[in-house]
Amino acid sequence: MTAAAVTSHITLRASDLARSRAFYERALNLHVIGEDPAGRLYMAPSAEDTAPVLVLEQAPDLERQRPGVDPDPYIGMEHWAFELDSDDFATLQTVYRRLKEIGAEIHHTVDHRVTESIYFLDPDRNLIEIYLNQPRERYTGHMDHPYDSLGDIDDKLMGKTG
Amino acid sequence: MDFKVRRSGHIVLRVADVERSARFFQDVLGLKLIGSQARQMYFLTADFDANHHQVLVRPARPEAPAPDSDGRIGLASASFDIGTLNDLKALHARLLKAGATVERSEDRGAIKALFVRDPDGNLFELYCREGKGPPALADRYTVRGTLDHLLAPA
Repeated sequence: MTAAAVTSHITLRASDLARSRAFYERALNLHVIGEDPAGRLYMAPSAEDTAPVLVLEQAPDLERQRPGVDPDPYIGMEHWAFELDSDDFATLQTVYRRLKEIGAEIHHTVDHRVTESIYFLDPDRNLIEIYLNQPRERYTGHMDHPYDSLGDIDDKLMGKTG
Repeated sequence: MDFKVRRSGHIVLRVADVERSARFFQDVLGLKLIGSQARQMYFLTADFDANHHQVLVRPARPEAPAPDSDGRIGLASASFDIGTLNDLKALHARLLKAGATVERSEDRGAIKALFVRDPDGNLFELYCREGKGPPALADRYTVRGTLDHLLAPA
């Protein structure tokens, strides 16, 4: 019996390392906890963390852009998701306001039943999800397909309902 | 009020063959399928209670080109912490059995890592941690050698 694998971090090649760093510092409140001799930036939820959730490196060849996001799915990463350290919808609203403030492109928002999620694009148009976990009782009994799309949560994020 | 990320959650991959990829993540990473596979969406996790999904594979556009990943802007690699050195050895044995290609191994001291490509060529780093307490950040990138002396030959 082996230990369960744990999702650790993603390494992204950025077209402009400084721009991507500034973006993730503001969009997700990530902190650079170190830089290696190759110039990679290690980013974590707090400055005291020792384990990164995101590593950024400079792309060597700026001509080799990745294909765009939807509606034409290529083979490869569609998106990477970060979990918000909160159980409170107001926290997700704070993230939403922050993303709007910094001019991040919101791709879509959705109630997935297991999560409430905001999908946004980073400066290189990588699709990133930030999500608020939902209480277990919300998806118990829906185990056949607990990852529904129950519609967008735009109005709820803007405080128009609920 | 402010906010903070808790942790990494999951990766979603667009793949050429969802069944082949789902098999890969079960055989190699030891993940289990969760829920139905409606709309050809395969949700996988090692432990549903700990994280309701860690990998989702879904179809790419038919005839989509394979990822031309090396050097390209975007995903360089996705990393999973797989436990102890013994877990890494067991994973290595599963990799060989599954016919997966180990691209390289890195001994970085407290962190030891295997780099493996999924059936579509996406690069995954699978690493273990040794010693008490969290590894130093330098153990994330200071390569001291390979793991050839620790792992069974192919």
